[in-house]
Amino acid sequence: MRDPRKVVILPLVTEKALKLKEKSNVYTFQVDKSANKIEIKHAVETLFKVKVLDVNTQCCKGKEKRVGRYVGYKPAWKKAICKLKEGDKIEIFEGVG
Amino acid sequence: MEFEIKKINECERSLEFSIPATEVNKKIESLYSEYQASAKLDGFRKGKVPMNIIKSKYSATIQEEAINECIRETYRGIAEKEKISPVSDIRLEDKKFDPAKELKVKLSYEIMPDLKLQHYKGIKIKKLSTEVTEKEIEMVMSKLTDSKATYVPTAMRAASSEDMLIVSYDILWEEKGVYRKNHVSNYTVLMDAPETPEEIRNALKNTVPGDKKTVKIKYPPDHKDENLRDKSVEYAFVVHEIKEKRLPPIDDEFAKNIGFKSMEELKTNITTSIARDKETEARSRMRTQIINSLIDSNPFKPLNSLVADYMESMLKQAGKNIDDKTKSQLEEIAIWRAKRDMILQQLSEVEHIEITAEELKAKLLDTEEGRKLGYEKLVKDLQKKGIFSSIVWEFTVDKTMNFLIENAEISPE
Repeated sequence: MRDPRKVVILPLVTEKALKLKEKSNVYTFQVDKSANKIEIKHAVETLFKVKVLDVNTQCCKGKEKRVGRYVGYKPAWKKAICKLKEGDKIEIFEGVG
Repeated sequence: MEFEIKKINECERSLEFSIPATEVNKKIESLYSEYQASAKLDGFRKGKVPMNIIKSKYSATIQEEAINECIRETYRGIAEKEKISPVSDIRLEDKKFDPAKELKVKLSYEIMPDLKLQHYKGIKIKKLSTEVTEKEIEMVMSKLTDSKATYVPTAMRAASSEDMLIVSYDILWEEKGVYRKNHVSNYTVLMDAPETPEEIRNALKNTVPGDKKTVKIKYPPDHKDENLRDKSVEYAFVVHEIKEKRLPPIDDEFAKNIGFKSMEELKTNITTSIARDKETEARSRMRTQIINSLIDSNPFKPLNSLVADYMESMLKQAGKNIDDKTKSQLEEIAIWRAKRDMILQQLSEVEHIEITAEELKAKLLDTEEGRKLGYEKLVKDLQKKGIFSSIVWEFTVDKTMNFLIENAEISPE
């Protein structure tokens, strides 16, 4: 199994992510593009000492960026939405929202 | 709310007060709401950032801002109640905030002390004579004729100390171990011009056309031309022509050439001009004598802020490289100027000396800008530049000085 710190890149703190957290105890992360759901589950459970019930992933396309007449793209990335066991919480999201 | 004003010395005061923590916390909360309404953060729409994120991100800035706002409001209230009119900036000496108890603040400021000026009438001063002598008129006349001098080629004769010489020269100097040479032809040397180096004047004196002379000059390290500073330069001159200086005859024709109707009018103009300069000089000296006498007979400590302001502006003018001796001299001047300002301000208040609207208008219209722009435009222009009040102050100073001179015992110097 890969190093969990290389799988979970950063927690996503947005309006939508906070709403999901409040409503359904679901936490959102940016994860490594090549990580699978099993690796993500293991990484979140190891890093935050919680029980992950379900993982949904989503590959996000990089946005178009234009520099003068040149068009390029920001890198694509992967989002992981993890549902935790009732009562489990992730400390870094606490006090937010 | 409790406060205490302490007298540190004649000019300095300290103000200590405390603000209940509830008031400060209320201010902090209201600032949090303001920030939340306008905060823009990635991942959130404007105004939708949760309060906890706002608190974790901006708590230090918001607390500082709230404390400063509370201090400002409280100070304004006390200043109004106690009629405090500081003449310097308010300095924040100390502040301690206990969120459970109170905010303790210590401020300091300077006020204009009551100087209780004495002996400002009947000051004994000496006035320089403003009489214009014949010798002074002659000196101006000689400068005028000199500026209108013409130079005519002479027959074969040696150059005198007043001639103009047409020369060519080779110039040789050393730069970074390499000798460099340059040639200049048909150059004019005025033998009596102060900018002509003495070595060249001495060498070229008594020369005749065709003569060759070599001069070596070692320029000092503080020479005004930085290319020549601390350099040894060799000049090899060849004299081509000598021209004799001819001064125009001093008569009505000469007066007409420089814009006067007659010689008499020119002389009257010169006399008036010298008399005006002498009067200005005499008045300036009388002003200094009066201020010195007032400083001597009314000892007091000047406002630190005023001395600091003068010091700052003088140091700015003097540049960075000044030694301790010059600095202490500048400090003495700053103290003298600060004392002068304080004396004149107090005197103008005691004697109710003010510039009336008519006087201000007349004085402004008497200036070059006033004649060009007109009174109202000039006032607007000065207000825009932020110097209107300082110009009114200068006029008040003039009027106060005139009052002191009128009341002084003047004897000839």
